[in-house]
Order: sequence, then C-alpha cells, then structure tokens
Amino acid sequence: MDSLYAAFFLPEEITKGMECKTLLFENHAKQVELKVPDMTKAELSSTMLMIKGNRQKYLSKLHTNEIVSVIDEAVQKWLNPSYELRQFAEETLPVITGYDDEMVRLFLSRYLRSFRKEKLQRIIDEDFANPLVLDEFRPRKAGGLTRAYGPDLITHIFSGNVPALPLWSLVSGLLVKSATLGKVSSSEPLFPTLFAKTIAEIDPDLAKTMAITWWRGGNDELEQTAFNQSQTVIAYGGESTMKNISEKVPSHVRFVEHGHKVSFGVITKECLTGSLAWQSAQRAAKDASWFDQQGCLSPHVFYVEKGGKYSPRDFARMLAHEMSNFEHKMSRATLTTSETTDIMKARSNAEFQSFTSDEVELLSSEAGTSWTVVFREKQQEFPLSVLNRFVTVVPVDDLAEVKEKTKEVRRVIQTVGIACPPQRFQTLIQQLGDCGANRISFLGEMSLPEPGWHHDGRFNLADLVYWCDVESSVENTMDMFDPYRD
Amino acid sequence: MDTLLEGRVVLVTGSSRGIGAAIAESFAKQGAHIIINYVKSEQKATTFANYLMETYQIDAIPIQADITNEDSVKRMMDAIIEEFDTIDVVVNNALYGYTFDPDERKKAWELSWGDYQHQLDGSLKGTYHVCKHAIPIMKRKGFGRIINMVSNLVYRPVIAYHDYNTAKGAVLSYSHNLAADLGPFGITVNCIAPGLVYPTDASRRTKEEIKDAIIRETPLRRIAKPEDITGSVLFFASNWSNFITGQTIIIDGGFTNK
Amino acid sequence: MQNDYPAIKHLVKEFILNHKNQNDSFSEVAKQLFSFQYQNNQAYRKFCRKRRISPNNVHTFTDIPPVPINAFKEATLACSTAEDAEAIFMTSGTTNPEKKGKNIHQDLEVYDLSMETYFKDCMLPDLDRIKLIILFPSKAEMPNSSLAHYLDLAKKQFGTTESEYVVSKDGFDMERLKQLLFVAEKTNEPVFVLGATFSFIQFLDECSEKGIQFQLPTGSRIMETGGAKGKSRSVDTVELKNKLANLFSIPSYACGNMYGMTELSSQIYNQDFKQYFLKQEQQPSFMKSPHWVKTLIVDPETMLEKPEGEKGIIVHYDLANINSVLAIMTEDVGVKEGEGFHLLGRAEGAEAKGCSLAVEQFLSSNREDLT
Repeated sequence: MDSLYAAFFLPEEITKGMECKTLLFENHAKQVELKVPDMTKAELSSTMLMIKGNRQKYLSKLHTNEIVSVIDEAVQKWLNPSYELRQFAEETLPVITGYDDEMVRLFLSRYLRSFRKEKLQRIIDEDFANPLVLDEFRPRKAGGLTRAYGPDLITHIFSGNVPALPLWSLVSGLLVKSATLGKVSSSEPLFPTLFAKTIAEIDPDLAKTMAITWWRGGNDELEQTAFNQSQTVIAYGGESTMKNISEKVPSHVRFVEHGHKVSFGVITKECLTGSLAWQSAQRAAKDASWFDQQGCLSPHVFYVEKGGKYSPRDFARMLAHEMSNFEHKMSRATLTTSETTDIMKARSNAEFQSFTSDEVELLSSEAGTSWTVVFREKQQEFPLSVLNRFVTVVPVDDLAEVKEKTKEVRRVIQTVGIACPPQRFQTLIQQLGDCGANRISFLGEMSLPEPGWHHDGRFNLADLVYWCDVESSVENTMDMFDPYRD
Repeated sequence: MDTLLEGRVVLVTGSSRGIGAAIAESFAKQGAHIIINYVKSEQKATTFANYLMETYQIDAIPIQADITNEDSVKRMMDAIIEEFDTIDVVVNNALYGYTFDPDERKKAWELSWGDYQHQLDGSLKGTYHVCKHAIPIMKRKGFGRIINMVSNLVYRPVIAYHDYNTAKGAVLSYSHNLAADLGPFGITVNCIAPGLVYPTDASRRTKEEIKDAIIRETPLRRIAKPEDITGSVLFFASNWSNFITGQTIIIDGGFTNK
Repeated sequence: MQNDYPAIKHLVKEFILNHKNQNDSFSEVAKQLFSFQYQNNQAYRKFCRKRRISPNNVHTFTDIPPVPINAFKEATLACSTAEDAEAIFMTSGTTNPEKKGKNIHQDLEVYDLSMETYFKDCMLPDLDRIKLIILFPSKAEMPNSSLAHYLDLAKKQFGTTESEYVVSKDGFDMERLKQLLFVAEKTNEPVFVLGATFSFIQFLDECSEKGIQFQLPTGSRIMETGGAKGKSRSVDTVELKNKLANLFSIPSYACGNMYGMTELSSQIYNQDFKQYFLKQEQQPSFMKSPHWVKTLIVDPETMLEKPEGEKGIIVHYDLANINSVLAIMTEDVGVKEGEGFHLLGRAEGAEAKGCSLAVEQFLSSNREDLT
C-alpha cells in the first residue's frame, strides 16, 4: 500500500512510472509533507479509461442498496476513533488546514454521521419517488416504464480547505453509479484519498472505479483532457475558477457548479429575552466561528430585531463575549499577512467611525485578530465579512427589512440561520424564502446541513441522472406483435 | 504573566484618604490612570492626584461627586469619559463616615429606621449609582471590573454595628446578583471584605483592648494596614482573576475562618 | 496646546537639519511629537486611549501606536482644522470623494524641508540643478495631489528654467517627451525624467512598438514612483528598471525609485544613485528611509518587529508628519535588510480558503456586471 502521505488514489498501472510533487503544510508548529501526482495527459487519459471500464464491468451492475451498504460500512469504520485512517486524518488535517484539532475531530464525527445507511437512503428518497429506478426499469404511474442512469464518469473539482466536504460530492457520484475522477484542492488534498482507501478495504472492485488526483488549478491540458472524457463535471470554487472551468467544459458535458456563497443570521425579539438572549448569542458565535467562517454556510452578518428585553446592541456585546469564549475553546487558525491586514483594515474602518458616531461600535479581541464583532445601527451596504471570525450585527425594526438589506447579495445567498419562536416561524420562513435563501436552519446549526438538503437549491442526485422512458405505447402495442397472440 | 493594569482607567470612590487612597496609589504604581473621587476634601484630593502623577507618570484627576446623589455621579462619569473615553475598573469604596466605637454603638432596640436608611444610602445606594452608570460604558467594550468594598463583619459581627453591617451585607448580595447579569458581557463583580483596618479615620477611636482581642483571635496576629487591602483589589482588577466573579476575599489575617 | 505648534515644528526642523544618526534623539523627538499629536488630534487620542497608551507610557518610539492608513479615509486625523490648512493632500484611486484619505498640513515648511533634503541626498547628490522632465500633471491641475506638490517643489528647487511638464489633464504628450529627449542627446545636456511609474510604462510600450531608443548624455537619470498597480499592465520591478535603463541608455544606478504616500510627509528612495555617488557597494532595489523616518517590518498579528529576512507589514514613524500622526501602518509588505528594506507589494484582498464569498471577489464580479 502507498504511504499514507500520498495524496492520490490511482490505478497501480499508472502510479508505477508517474512523477510526483510535494506539497508542504505548516501549522500549529508542525509540518506535513504530502506527495501529489504530476501527471501527464496520457496518464490521466488512461486512468479515466480504466475507471470507466471498471465501472461498466462492476459498478453499473451493482444495486443501489449494495452501494449504500459499502458507504455505510466505510462511515462506520471512520466513526471508530481507533480506525487507522481516521487517526491519521485527525493528526494531519489540522496541520494541513490550520483549523483547531478539536474542531476537526468533532466535525469529522458529526459530518460522517450524516452518511450512515438511513441517511443515505433519505438522500435517495428525497430525489426519487421510487429509488428502484436507479437499478431497473420501473412502471410509471402515468403508464410505461422509466429508469435513471448516472453519467459514466463524473469529474469533481474540489476547492477550499474545509476538510471532508468533498465527501458529499463523492458519495452522490457513487450512488448514481458513476466512475469518479476527483481533483483535490491544493489547500486540502488529503481527505478524498483516505476515503477512497477505505472503500478499497471494503469493496476493492468499487474502489477501482475511483481515481483521486491533483493538478494545479487552471492546468489547461489536464483539465481539457478530464472534461472531454467526462459526462458531467461538478466544480466548487470562486467565480473566477468557475468561469475558467465553464469555458473548458465542452457543450455536451453537463456542468454542475457550486460557486462561493454568502450566509447570514436572523434573530427575532422573542429570542432576546431572559436566558434565551445568551443562548442566541452562543449559537450565533458558534456559527460565525466554525471553520473560521470559511464555509459558504458561515454567517457574515446577524440581523437582530429591536424590541426584545435585550437590545440588538446588547446582543452584539454578548455575541462578542461568546466569540471570545469560542476562541478559548477552539482557537482560530494562524492567518497569512494579507488575511490579517484585511481584518486590521476592516477593524480600523469601524473603529474610526465609532469615534465620531454612536451608530458604530467595535468589539474585538484585545490582542491579535482572533475575533471581531461590529455593531452597525445603519447598514449602508451588505456588510460582507473579511472572514476569519469577523461578523457584523445590524438591528432591524421589522424583519421584512431583511429582504431589502440583502438585495445586493441575493444571487449568492445560501443559508439563513434563524432564532425564532413557533409563533413567528411561518411568516419568517416565507420572508426568507423570498430573499432567495436556499436553506434555513436554526441558529447554531448553520454549519451542518441535514442529509438530503438541496445543495445550492438544487436536487443532488436527480440533477446528475438522465432518464430513459419506455412509453405506454410499447407496453400496449407489443401485444399485437406477439407471435403467441390470441 | 502580563496583568494588564498599565494604562487601565480606574475609578476609586472615596479615595482622597484612608483605604481608598491606598488603593488608588497601588493602581498608580502599576501604571493605571486614576480618578480620585472625593466629596469635601478638594485640597487633599488635588494634592494627592498631583503626587500620583509626579511619582508614577500616570494621569490622575480629582473629581468631586457625592455618590449618593445620582446626578452628581452622572456628572462624574461624563467628566471621566471626556478625559479618558472609558472606565475599566471601578472600586466602590466610599461610604458615609461611621464611627466604630463598641461602647457608643446603638443597641438593636435603640436604632431607628433612619439609622439603617442612612447606611443603606451611603453603601448600597452609592454603589448602585456608580455601577448603574459604569455598566453601559463597560458593556460597550466587553470588559469591566467592579470591585465592591464590604466588611468581614458581614460574616461574623463580632461587634454588632447593626446599620453598618446590614448595609454592607446588602452590598454583598447586590454584588452577587450583579455578577450573574454582567458575566455574559465580560464584566466581573467581586468584593473585598476587610477586617478592622488601622489606622484610618474611621478606626482611629477603636480601643486598644478591642484591637488586642481581635489580634488574639487572628492567626496572623496583627491588625490590617491599609496596604494589606490593596493586593487583593489589584488581583480582582488584573488578568489573574479573569475567570472569577461573584466572589469575596476576606482580608483579616484569618480572623474569619470560613 | 495649539501654541505648541511652532515649538514642535522647530524641534523637528532642527532634527532634520542637524541630528543625523542619533537614535536616542529620534525617540526623544518622537515622544514630544507624539505628546503634541495626542493632545491636539482628537481621533488619534481616542485611538491611543483604546490601546491604553498615553504620553506617560511611551518610552521609545516603538511604543507609539501606528494608525492603519485607511483610517485617513474614515476620520480627520489632524492637529488643526481643514480651514486653517495650507494644503490638504488626498489619496487617489477611489471615485467617492468622501472616502478619499486626507492628510491635512497646517503649513508645508517641514514637508518641503523633508522633501528637499532627502531628494537632494538620494537623487541629486552631484548637482545643484538639472533639467527636469516631469511625467505628471502640474500642481495647478492637481492641487490636492501630494505628488504634484512634490514635483512642483523639485522643479522649483532643483530644476533649470527649461524644465517642463509633459503630462497634463489632457493626457501624456509623448511626442513632446521624445522631442525633449532628442534635444538632450543633441545638446549633450543631462536631463532628469521623473514621474508616475505607469507613464513610464506607457512610454516604454510606445517606444518598443516604434523601435525607438535614446542615448541620454552622461549624468542623466530617471525616477519613477507609485508602482504600476491598477493603471496599466503590471511589470516586475527589476524588469522595469532594466527596460528603462535600456530605453534611455543610462546605467542602472541612474534609475531611481521613490516610495511615498499621501499619508506621510517624507519619501523613501532606493539607494542606487547615492551608493554609486559615494562609491559604496551596490545593493539593488534596497530602500532606505531618511534619519527622521524609522521604518519597521512588523507581524500585523502581534505588531512585533519581524527578524531580518522575514516578510511583514511596513510601519513608518515619520517625524515630518507633524500635523497628523507620526506612526503609520501601511498595507505594504516588505522585508528588512540591514539598514533598509525591500518593498514587495501590497497585502490585500486575501482569497477565501473555503467556499465563503470573499469581499474582493464579490466586488470584482459586481464590477464585471457593470461593464
């Protein structure tokens, strides 16, 4: 078996003569060196041919239930703290990403739990009224039969350094019985490989339909090769990455893009009463601090309704205290000079504004840049965060104002975390749905979407498959052509 | 460890003399800026502030305010904000003058409600006024240290100074409640409960026999000096006590053994 | 306390004129200037108070808290009002006038003294006057530009009467520039071409397209400033220097680079010409501050000085900045080397590590929407 530090999962025939590069990561005063492939076009091309062939031979004939069982077994292995690969991940991921070890450990468990058998079944049921359509032609209520086919091969372009996030995409591809080519990101290239290795331990034939590799994003030759030989490309990344990729994906290949997104929180006045106020602040701090606010599910701003027992300003102050408490529990990653400079800049804007106006208040960690809360009585423009635990609190008289206040970012709104009582729930979700949100969770749960959620407002599996309908005319008319007809 | 007292803005009420002055000087020694609050002794307060500035290279300003009068407290706070923009630490030390004379003290059946009211006004109401106006300032910065002076007599009234002890007991209870509400904003509230401190204006008339009696029951075998109090006050103001709130330190050489 | 202004001005002028290489006295003057600014600059005073710094606990100049330069956009950082000012210099770049950084100068005595002293020292140690050809609009056209004032001053103090501007509001008159350069070749009179980096790049492109090269007389020199960012295609600084030296046929030491900003009152130069003149060993692209400016490279997270050779954010302590704040934290990345530093560029617009939208990205995609 390859060294654990090899961040790729490729057929042996390919790795024999393949060139490699090293990526060096340094965080928490430790170092990790990962070996990543430096593939040629030919190597990539034959890899893709091989996994496609294996898919044809094996995966396309598996029943969905069998695939679910393999993934479930893999997840069970990962949920065991003494599992070798899990221990390795817990050790190395914090060094690779800079995230707090405790946060990585907790996240792995919570996240992986959402891929257990019953959750996977829920994901499938969410998209297919009759999940058996993935395995065979099934009768339609309207007459005739139909079957759903996944693409031969899906290329996944992962980005960012939030660990384990690619699992979502990998699992979706497996469930629709597609071969998988995964291009890992330079900032966290390890996890997808480890997971593929687990699949190999359980079902080596299934693992042979998966290839995980790396190239520097934007490598024209390799990207064109990959996209030309795929039926579907799923990509994650910023707008420039998306633009770059979409230009290279041939028109006959489906392109599913997951661009960068913005999230925010909403707190009603009822939640600013008694101990609920503190609980709201604590939940808000958790959402804003989790993965140092790098996720598209991380809030940039909290809209707080006026009229509660605690004012929005007091909420901001309690939030500040909770941000500080979270930092004690799970400290933020060390930042680059430009990240720190961005925070200093945003802080000094708010600070100097606060000197001349009571409408702005800056609360921040005393030493360093570990967390920042800015209170703004009046929002001029949507206060996009410079990230790394920097949030804004904006008071509103009426929650209906939120729509106007988030207008600028409408096309990129992802999750809204809400704190509200049952009496306000219906009105509020309608208002937020109207804002363009595609996921609403309770405050404190923003970072952990439930299985089967419509990622970026779309179907997960149903978006990947194509259908073959057998019309009722066949059923009805073929009897007329039956040699044994009456 | 950096205790971070340097540059902090500290208000000590009733600090032109006695324990208050000792506390103020101990902060100045650590590089904190001091507001010397007084009611009548303007000359004394000004001289003292000048002495602190020259000796410790810090800012010290005397501000007159009768803390039992809310308007007066508000004016003082405005003046502090004008000068320093903020308040980091408040030490509620002021009280109405009280003569600790065991022979002359009123017995339980001799006290009028007015006696209680007077002490409650001096201790509880004064502390309340100062806290009320300091809290918004501290909330704004997510940091604050409130230190209230009570007395060891609260725990063991060796001599039953009814009105005084009751008022101090009220301050203690007030402080516990305050701590509960202010914790979520990063503000701590703690108390200092000294035993008999000698010499101060209040204890000057305490008889030798009383002092001897106290000394006999004090493991450390002496009476507290004003300087004995300051260390614990600095502790509550410093980062050494970051995770302590709603607590009381009794400074009486072990007399109150609880 | 306003009365202290003449006294503090005198102190700084004295220091610029007479106190070379005395570190202790730098801190001494810095402390007094800090005290003056703390008393008279309300926004800065609040800034210091928040950091619990007052003149009493400033022992050396590094105890003085530096203000991030973008604060000049949000607040009036001055010891006197805009009405009493002889000059208000504003940053360029943004279109919103309310968001322009302003440096208010009660008068320009110290500014001018600082400029003249170090300009002479670094760029003109060998001559009293030289014919200047200026690639930037005049002061009359851009009254709020510190660079326009700087160049105007250079022309007055160090330029011959034939000195001339070739850029105006109407544009860059490249034909005139070529003419002037041909004249210089013919008369064999050295010239000093100076101005904005992006104009030099424009001229380079023009000349390379037309295949023109100049043979400037010995003693000629150039100085570019401002960098290429945003205005034209970006060019590597070393490459630019080589290309310019080649275009004008001048030695590489005659290619000067000035680093200045609206928020400061002093400029910093590369030391090539000075080192050549003093026959010192050449250290290319090495920037050095004058003795009244201390430049530190710090870790922005801790504000502690970085060891030599490590990247950090550049902080300047400029005693000539008497009417605003003497300590400024830039958004530039640099590396300390010996007595000076190397400028590596701007630190801004970090890319998001995860999938959350970064401000910079959102702004740029919105800009695309508009075009």
